[in-house]
Amino acid sequence: MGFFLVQFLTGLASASALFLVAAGLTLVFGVTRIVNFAHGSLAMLGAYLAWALVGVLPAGPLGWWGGILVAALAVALFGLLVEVVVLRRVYGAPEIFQLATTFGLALLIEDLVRVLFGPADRLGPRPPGLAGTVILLGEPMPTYDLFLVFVGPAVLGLLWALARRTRFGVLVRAASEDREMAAALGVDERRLFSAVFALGAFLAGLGGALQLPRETLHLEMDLEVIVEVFLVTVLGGMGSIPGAFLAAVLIRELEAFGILLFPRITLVLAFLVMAVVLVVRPQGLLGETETGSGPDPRLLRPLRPAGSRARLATALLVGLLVLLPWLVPPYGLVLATDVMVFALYAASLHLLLGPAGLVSFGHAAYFGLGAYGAALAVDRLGLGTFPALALAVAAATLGALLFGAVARRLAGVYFAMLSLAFAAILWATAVQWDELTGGDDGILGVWPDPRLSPLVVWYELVLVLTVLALVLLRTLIFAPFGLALRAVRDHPVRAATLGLRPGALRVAVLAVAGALAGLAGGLHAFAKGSVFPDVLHVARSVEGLVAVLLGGLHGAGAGPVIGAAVFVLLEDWASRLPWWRTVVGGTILLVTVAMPEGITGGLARLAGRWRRRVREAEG
Amino acid sequence: MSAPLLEVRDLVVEHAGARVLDGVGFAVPRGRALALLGRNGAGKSTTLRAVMGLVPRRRGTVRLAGRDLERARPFEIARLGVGYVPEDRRIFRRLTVLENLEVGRIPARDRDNPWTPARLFDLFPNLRDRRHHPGGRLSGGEQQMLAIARALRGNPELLLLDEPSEGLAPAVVRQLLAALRAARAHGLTLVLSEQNWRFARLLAEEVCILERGRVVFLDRTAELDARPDLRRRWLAL
Repeated sequence: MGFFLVQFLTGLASASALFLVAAGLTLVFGVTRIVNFAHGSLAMLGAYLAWALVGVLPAGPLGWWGGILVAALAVALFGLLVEVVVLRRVYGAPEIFQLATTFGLALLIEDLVRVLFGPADRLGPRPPGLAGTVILLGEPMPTYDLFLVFVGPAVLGLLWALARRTRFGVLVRAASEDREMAAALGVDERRLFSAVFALGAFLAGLGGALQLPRETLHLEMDLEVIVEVFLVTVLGGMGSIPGAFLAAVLIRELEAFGILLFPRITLVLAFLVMAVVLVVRPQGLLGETETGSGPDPRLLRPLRPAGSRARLATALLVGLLVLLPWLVPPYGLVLATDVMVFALYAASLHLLLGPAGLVSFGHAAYFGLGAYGAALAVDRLGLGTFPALALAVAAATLGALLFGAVARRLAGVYFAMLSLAFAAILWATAVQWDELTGGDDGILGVWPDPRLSPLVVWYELVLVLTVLALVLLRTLIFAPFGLALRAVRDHPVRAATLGLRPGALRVAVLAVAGALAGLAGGLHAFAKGSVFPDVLHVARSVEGLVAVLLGGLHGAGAGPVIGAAVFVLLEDWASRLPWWRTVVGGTILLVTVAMPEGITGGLARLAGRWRRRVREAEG
Repeated sequence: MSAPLLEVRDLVVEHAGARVLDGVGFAVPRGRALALLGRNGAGKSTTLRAVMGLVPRRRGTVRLAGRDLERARPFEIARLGVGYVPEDRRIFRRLTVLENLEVGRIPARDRDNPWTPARLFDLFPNLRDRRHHPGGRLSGGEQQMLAIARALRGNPELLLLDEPSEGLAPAVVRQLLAALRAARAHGLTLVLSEQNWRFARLLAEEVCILERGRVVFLDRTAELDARPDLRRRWLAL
């Protein structure tokens, strides 16, 4: 009996810290409609700052609690700075740019924490006075955990009072409903947004800092936290603070007791519960309505088939690529293979982001399923290269269908956050299930058949498959299927009255995109000769996203290929720098803030402006 | 003679490349009421939104008591004393009636016999009983009253009303008319857009007819009252 009580209370204690961070995210989302990917990074920053401050300040209760509070306040100040300098510029942008911007921020903050506090793991002390244990029904429980049990409800109560009992709270609620109307009534929405963001950052910082005595601090914390926080906010309903509390408790209790039954798959359990809830209530437990933003006006321009000049240029480029082995040294060929595999991956993601209008933040799920599918086919089943690639495609398609079944009704940010969580769970599974996947050691010796393994042969095979896949994608985008996708994206209700079925189309397009990403994953496995869990990592998902954004969302093929080429070359150069996160994060910020049409679109705009200026100068 | 409270000159607004307003101009002296008339799509709502700073102005000036509003953002225009009642009311549906009024309060303008909730409930007695109800539960007429009360709560000098009588029962329209007249007795200046000529003529001394983004008639209400031919030409559906 005592054991279950302590297990239950421990679940509540860790729910408290999770709730604080999630409340900050959901509060900021409610007002600014921005899903802050860097929110987990703010929690990590709070935890590290608290660690440093508690170490410096004099020992004793005042030093400990003072350190926690100052750390949270410092994170609030940092958040304010970020809001004013960066986020303010993307409030009007489509949600995919906002998500990408905050991801860029997350990369920058990770480097910042690494520089300030070093790469070593850190563990903080327990607060004086709460360092011991209490005995509950014969079972010991840390006093600090018992204290945390009360923190969650207390903060929930304070936030409730703030929302209902103060003018600030009333204005925040008004602005979350209709910011333009609030502004027309004299509410300075910029200052309000800054204040809300600072409050959200404070909650993240506090949630992170309070974890100090319970968890080892490490530099992967940001991703760990954000995935769980996404699960909590989607499950609870975006923008709902009580919903976040309920969901945090639900997920933590599920873990606390799930670990007794299935020690390996607690995250999978959480995902399954969420899948059931979202199928019944797509807006989450206490969410009011589904939140989907309107279509991006930049996407509403109709697509045109390529002109004869573009066709000629494409044919010349493909011809050049065929002859590439005789033009560049072997390393160039390796790099070119990487570019093509990545271009295929990015193009499959572009199908979702562009024509289908589905913001997928977990595209690595399909890439990784493909990579593991191919590797396992070779390693376990002893299959040849082509059957293994077929299995890669099948595994990824199956994964996409599974995700589609859960996400077919989800709108906008819910879809994005759930796709991230889906990929994160697959990643965790790949790490934990080492009997099958080899865990962190990966699967080695995944080489193509001997007749395919010479570099030139493999390169030409990848080239043929990539070109075929890209032609297929482009044909699909201009086929009735692609027209239907764009119709559903631009106006789901009107498209439905025309007899199109948005849910079925979503599942279908996910299957296509998943299949091609799986092919890319399979090719990647053979190109590297090995597979590690990083093929499923969030970073992989975001790399694809960055390539698509670099190339521009609009269009039907060229964009993602150009973006992928730029990205692979940039990363090849930057990954040798200790600062690659700063370089990549900074590039993302630059693109999303300054060139929202992507490199191709941005250059076209600059050229147009320049031409106009020349014309005006000429009179 | 002092400057008019609101002066709009040569206002041009474009949307997606098309001119929605093409050189609109009019002036409203302090304490007066002007009705913007015209058919659907003539540019009435856009004119009000442009005054409020809610749509970008391509060209032209808007002056409030002689002060150029070119660079002012909507919240600043509201704080300078302009109240706005949008066409679709845009009540905060999850906020109670009292909370909706609180959003409308502008602390810096809350002096000299302000429009307190108590006074606003005298003006719109229906709202008093529902003051703790969420805005989303109110009837259409009650929402319109709340939208006006919310704008008055900021103690504006100028009230912009976008189609206040649209879709309301005749009894509610009469109630609105009485309330707006009472507010005018305290010196409020009005600019309203209307399709309902009979409502407009009972409230406004001056009318301005818009057609395809241009002013085609600007004169005293009595002049238009005497010209059924013009009304047929510019207003008949």
